[in-house]
Amino acid sequence: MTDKPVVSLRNLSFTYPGATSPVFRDFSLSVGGSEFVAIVGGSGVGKSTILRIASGLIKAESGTVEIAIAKEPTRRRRALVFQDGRLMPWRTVAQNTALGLEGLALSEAEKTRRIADVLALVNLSDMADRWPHQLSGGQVQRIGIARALAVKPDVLLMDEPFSAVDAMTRRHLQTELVRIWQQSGTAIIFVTHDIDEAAFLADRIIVMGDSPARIVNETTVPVDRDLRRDSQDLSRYADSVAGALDFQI
Amino acid sequence: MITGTAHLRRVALGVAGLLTFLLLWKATESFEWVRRGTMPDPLLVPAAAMDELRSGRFLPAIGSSLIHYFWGLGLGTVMGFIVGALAATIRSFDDFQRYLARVLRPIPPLAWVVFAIAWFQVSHAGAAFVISIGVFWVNYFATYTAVQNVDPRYYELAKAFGQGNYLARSMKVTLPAAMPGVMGGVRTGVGQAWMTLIAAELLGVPGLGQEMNSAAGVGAYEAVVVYMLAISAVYALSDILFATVEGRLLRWRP
Ligand SMILES: Nc1ncnc2c1ncn2[C@@H]1O[C@H](COP(=O)(O)OP(=O)(O)OP(=O)(O)O)[C@@H](O)[C@H]1O
Ligand SMILES: [Mg+2]
Repeated sequence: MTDKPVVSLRNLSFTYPGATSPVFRDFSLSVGGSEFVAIVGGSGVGKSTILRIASGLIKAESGTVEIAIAKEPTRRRRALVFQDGRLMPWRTVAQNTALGLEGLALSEAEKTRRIADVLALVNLSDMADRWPHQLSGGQVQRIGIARALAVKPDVLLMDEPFSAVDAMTRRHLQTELVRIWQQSGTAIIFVTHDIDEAAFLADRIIVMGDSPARIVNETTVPVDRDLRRDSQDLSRYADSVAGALDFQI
Repeated sequence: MITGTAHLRRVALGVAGLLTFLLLWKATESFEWVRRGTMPDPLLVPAAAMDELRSGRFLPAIGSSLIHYFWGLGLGTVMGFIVGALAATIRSFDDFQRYLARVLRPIPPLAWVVFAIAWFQVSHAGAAFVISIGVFWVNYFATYTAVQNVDPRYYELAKAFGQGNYLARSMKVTLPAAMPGVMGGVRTGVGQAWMTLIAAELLGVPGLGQEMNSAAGVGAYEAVVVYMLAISAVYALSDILFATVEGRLLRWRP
């Protein structure tokens, strides 16, 4: 990580209302301007909670979240891809995709173009007029991704975005995500359960342990992007992450 | 899928139900199972309908009732929705109206007839006022409950995509998410308004209810049945109208 951090989480402490112990205490993480960071860790350690704080949905009791990028009227600084997809059932696919664009300084034509672009990206152009109840779980997740990409975020926060898509689509989306990330220069924090996925996607893999959540291992993946799909090296990094996780559990 | 014959069978059964009812009715009248002269003859109802139409009282009575109905229903629905929605979304307003609602809610709409007559005399406004009270409570509770039950995850979603202020939340989450529940209330109100309307008119405001009352007063029971059927027909029409509007608004539902 050579570039200046664009997201800095510093000394965050957080306890859910009514919970007896904090999810984390003094948690810190910095992500560079066009860095791809993956977070892996057991269920319930607090991965989603970190993304909710980083995206501004909930406030930490102490500590700061800093986004070192100026606001622009045609994009949003942060966008979150929810673990459960989360579409509004009363909006069509295209209308759901447009949610984050509403209130941005864009012409209707520009909005329509962005929606068409991101729907094409997730291979769902022909579903633009469908209602969410007419979609499969994997399609719902892809719309969730399209909705986040539409706002051209500086920081893209993704919470297990591919957990419900089939293996084929997953590979396609992983490749597309890397391509989008390389073109757009957005920073990505990507939560996943899948170590191989983390090794394929990320510059840096963070392993989280719990009670309270903390970083127990950090692995940098210096493998060339073009060689990753078949690289033998990659599995070495994956194994090292798996080792750290095992130790944890 | 309903096949052609299955559909025909269902229609036939429905018609058979109607015919059975008519037969029982006719038998009750012919064999005098109830006191003589108090049971109308179903076969004389069409003739009675023609008489009522020719008398020139039937259509004005329907017109008068419809005026009460639309004003009472409209006012009660709009007010019930507004107050219910505000109470469910603004904590201090909820606290403010809490005890007041407890006190006023149990009073049946018809109990207000006394004041309706005192304030509005026997007029359209009085009838509309009484009807709107019942409709108000139905919509108030339906809206209140529907808004309170909106899944908070949608508010979180709206906030994550820059739609977090009160107006954006209300228009983009609360309103559409609560719409099925609100519509359920409106539909109950559509029916409830008819009940109250006839009862209010029985107490003296001109309309179908009053015509029914005066026909009964002179023992013209066939005419009473004509008015009953008229009520049934107008209700069916308003229900169909409502279902069309609802279907359009809730087209996103599976
Ligand atoms: N709204 C809430 N109220 C109280 N506790 C919560 C709430 N949401 C999550 N928690 C608790 O906080 C902890 C962290 O939850 P979080 O959703 O961040 O985990 P996660 O790492 O994303 O898990 P998973 O991999 O299963 O998605 C868990 O122990 C969970 O039970
Ligand atoms: Mg999670």
